[in-house]
Amino acid sequence: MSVSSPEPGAEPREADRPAEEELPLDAVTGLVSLGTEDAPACSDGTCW
Amino acid sequence: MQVEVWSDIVCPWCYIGKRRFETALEQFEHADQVEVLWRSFQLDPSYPRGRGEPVRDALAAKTGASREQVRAMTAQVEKVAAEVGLEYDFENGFMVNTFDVHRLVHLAQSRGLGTKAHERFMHAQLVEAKDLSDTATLVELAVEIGLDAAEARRVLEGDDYAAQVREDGAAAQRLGGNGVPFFVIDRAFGISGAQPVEVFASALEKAYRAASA
Repeated sequence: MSVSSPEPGAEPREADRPAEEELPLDAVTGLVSLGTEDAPACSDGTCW
Repeated sequence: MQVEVWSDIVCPWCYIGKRRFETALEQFEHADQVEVLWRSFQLDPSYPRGRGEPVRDALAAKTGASREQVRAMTAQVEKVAAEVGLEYDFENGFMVNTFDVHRLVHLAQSRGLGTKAHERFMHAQLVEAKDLSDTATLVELAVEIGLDAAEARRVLEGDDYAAQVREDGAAAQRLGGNGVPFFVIDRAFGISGAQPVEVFASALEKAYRAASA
């Protein structure tokens, strides 16, 4: 049994595509949070 | 696609985050389909309006830290800012209440000049160390942005756009944005803080795929 390779430049088949990661939806805000939680930011008047 | 950015003019991480987001947007294949809206967020709404105070003095008073400790804190941010081409001047900078600046950003946004206004005011505050509690300075900057001087002065003397500034702050809270910068794409994806360029790039791709699905 042989396994064929896709033609160069061909669209990847569905099964070849990496699965989309599960993104957690915040039930309160309705947003999916992306990025890390420890990124620098300012809050409550301070940034330091 | 719509990207809303909650940001305060005096927020050093917001300007750094803005630069990183802009780099990601420049690289994004569908950048021409992205609309950026600037939303107001006041880090310290209780700070007296019309008063400009040396930023390091204000930080020392707020945190109880010594001048040397404040210098060390700001030095770290200056270093990161320099990496994205921003030469912050905390030595000569002023702490101000940004309510009126945000009202002018809303005026500019209503004229299609929101991005230009936000950039100009942040540069004036953090790099040029201008005193944005001074009405004449604000009007001068408004004119540079492309606004009419008389209109800017009229807005500053009245309370135009005050409701929009407050509503922006309330919206950030509803969306879970307790700090800034806070980026929201299509009211579906939230990104908090000055994330690396790759995070913004990945978020734009994810949002585009979601919008296209």
